[in-house]
Amino acid sequence: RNMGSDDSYNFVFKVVLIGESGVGKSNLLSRFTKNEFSHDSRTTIGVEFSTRTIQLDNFTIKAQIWDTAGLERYRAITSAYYRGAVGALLVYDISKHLTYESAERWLKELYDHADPHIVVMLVGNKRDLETLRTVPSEEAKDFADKKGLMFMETSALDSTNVEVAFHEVLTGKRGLKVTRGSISAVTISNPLGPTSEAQEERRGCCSSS
Amino acid sequence: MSLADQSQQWFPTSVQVTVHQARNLRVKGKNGTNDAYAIIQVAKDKFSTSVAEKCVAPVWKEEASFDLPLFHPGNTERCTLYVIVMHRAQVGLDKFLGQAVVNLLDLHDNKSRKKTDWFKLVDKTGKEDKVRGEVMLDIQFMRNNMSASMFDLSMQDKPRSRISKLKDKVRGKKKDGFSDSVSAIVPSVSQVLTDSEGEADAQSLNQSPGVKKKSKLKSLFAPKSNLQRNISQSMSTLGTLPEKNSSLSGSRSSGLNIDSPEVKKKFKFLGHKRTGSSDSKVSQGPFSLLGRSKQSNSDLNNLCINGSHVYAEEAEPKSGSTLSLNSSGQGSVEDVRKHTSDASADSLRSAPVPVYRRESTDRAILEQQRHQEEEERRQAEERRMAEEKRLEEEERYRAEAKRLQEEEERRYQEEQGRKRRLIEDEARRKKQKEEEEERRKQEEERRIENQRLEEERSKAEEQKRQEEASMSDRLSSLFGMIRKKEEKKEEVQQHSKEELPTPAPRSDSRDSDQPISHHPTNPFEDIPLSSDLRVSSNESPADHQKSSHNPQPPSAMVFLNRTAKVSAVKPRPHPVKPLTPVESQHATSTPGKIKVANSGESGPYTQLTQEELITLVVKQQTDLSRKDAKIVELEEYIDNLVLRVIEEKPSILQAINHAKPV
Repeated sequence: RNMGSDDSYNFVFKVVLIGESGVGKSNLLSRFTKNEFSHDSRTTIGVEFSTRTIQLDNFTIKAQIWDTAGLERYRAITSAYYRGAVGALLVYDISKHLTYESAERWLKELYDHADPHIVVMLVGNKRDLETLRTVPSEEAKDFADKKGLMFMETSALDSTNVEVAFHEVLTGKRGLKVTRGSISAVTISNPLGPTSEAQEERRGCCSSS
Repeated sequence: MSLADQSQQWFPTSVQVTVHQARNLRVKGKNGTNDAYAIIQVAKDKFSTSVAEKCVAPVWKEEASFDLPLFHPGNTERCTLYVIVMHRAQVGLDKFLGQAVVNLLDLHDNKSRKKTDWFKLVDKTGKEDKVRGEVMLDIQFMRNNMSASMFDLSMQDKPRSRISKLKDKVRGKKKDGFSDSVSAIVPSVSQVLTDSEGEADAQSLNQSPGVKKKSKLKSLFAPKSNLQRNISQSMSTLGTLPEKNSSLSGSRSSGLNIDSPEVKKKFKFLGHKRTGSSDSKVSQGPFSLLGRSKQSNSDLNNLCINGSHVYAEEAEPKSGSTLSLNSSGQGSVEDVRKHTSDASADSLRSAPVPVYRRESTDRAILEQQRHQEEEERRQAEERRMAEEKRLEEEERYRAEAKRLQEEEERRYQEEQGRKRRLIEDEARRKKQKEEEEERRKQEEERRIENQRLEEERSKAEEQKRQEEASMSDRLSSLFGMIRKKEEKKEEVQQHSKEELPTPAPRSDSRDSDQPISHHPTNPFEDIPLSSDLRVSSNESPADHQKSSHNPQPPSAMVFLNRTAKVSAVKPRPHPVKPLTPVESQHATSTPGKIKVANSGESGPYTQLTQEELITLVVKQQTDLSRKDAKIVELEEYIDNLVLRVIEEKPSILQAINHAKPV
């Protein structure tokens, strides 16, 4: 599959990862962008993003996935973090009900700062820990439906649904139309230009493989 | 009339009295001394010197100034100075030692007098009844402003003579005259013109032929003065005139109507009030100060004052006070200064005490429970110690002859119970007498103990005590949290107080027991209360000797020392098992064990006392919170940094850890 070595792309899509600490956001990110998983990953400090270029329909899209921690309280970067995001993955841990319970709060935070048209997917991660599950799929699904969110259960560990989840968010259930406005905004807000990013990306890929 | 003339023939407007000292006083105080002070009084104005304590020849060197608004022979009251020497009684009324009565008029007329002289003290009625000693006074007459008084006089006439332009002229002249002020001693006052001067002048003019030296003034002003006098008299009865004249100086009358006693009295009262009720000069100090500061345009003030003086009391309170306070102002200010300096000194002295007390009482409240606990523990410890000692010595010093002695003593002690302990106390106290500090004392005790016991053991005991202290700490950890801040402060004090070669843990715990004061634990204080009496009643000399050698556990001793009540409870004919087994187990475990355990546990903090540990914790907490704050700052800084990166070059934030193993 294409891990983003393509230099040329039509759009940069910004997607943010949110959710409680320890639910596996960073591993979802690394799984999607680098096909990596770290068992002993530490708590994320600061803000970073990874990119991956994918083909959606006829477009080459550069997915820019942002990951952070410590947004439980408002910080200067909160707004910047959400700004221009076309999609968000609200992640919880299916084995930790508390992380699911806080989803509503995260949702509010998201809508407070993000584009109202943002595509949001509720992601129940760590599906591999089925035996420890405390959040029933149905319950989460119902909640997502009620809130108008997409829903998916993933496992960054065994890669289940990771690709699909990101793809769906990047595509958007409600169609690209909805996200077009955001797309342009993202493109504009990225003054770097495609070349340098692509180079960085490529370099990254080389080193990891 | 030239200024020179005026200054030559001047009339005092005030008198400054300095009470230097007294001698040959009658003795009313204890030990053949007096706590003497002097009251300086002219008319209703009184000043008091400070109290010269425990002396036969008090030295005060304090001065007071009095207005002499009615300085003429007809006004003996105003012209008589009383210096009343009193003894401050501890209980009851202060005692009269004698008084000097000085006729200021005579004194003033006596040109040959010495400024400073001894005045004989007489009895209350002014008669010489017996030898009461003398007081050395320095009496100086002062004139605030001659030209001002002239101005007053002229202004006084002005409404009637309608020479308003002259007024301005005179004013100008008067301004020149300021420099003419005779009283160099009261410079700040000199600007202000009191009508008393004028009054004096006028009176002396109007009055008796016996009054001398008014020649020039008289020729100039006598007619007017007479007129004025009449007018003022009528004015005194007519309430309406003053209002008309209020802005003018027609009100002069107050001092002028002296011929009739009644009127005089009346005016005097008025004048008195108006002049700033100089009776209570102390309280007026501030006002007189104010008055001074306001005297810059004294001309106008004086005018107004004069105008409103008699009739419009309320109308111009400021100028009123300015008026005659100025001359008395000095005295009052000084008086106030004296008083306040004393007071401030007192307050300074006492200031730290309340602060400390507040802290400590807070802390005391917090620690009451703990204190009780500790007392109980101490009691138990006492018993434990006794028992423990026996055991230890049996184990360790069986071979030693001393041990036998001690055993005997102990047995004896057990038999004697309280008595023995009391003797021990006393013996200990004897040693303690040589020591200045509580901790030192304890250390000494320990040293005495150590003569017989191994150093190890003593160490172990210290550690044990430390442990106990920390245990009690733990028990009172709730309080501890609250206390910390206070303790922190207190620790500073304690540390400064208790500079010991080797910090004794137990004394620490005791310190925390009694945060309010260290005195209760002070052995010296206890000696007369508890030990001596009991010892003398119960003990034989032999007991003394024995007990002085008795290796009584220091904690028990200390405990005994601390409160008589405890010592009454504590002694038992036979060592009794401590009431709280757990505690006793903890405490009575052999020193060796404790030592091992402690050395096992010991980290860098083992040697620290409770107070030091608390200090440490507090310090570290402070450090922590400081670091937290720092972290927040850094977070914010990083946030802003990241924000800028996001906005300007987000590619920097692209994940770096590409090489992470999968």
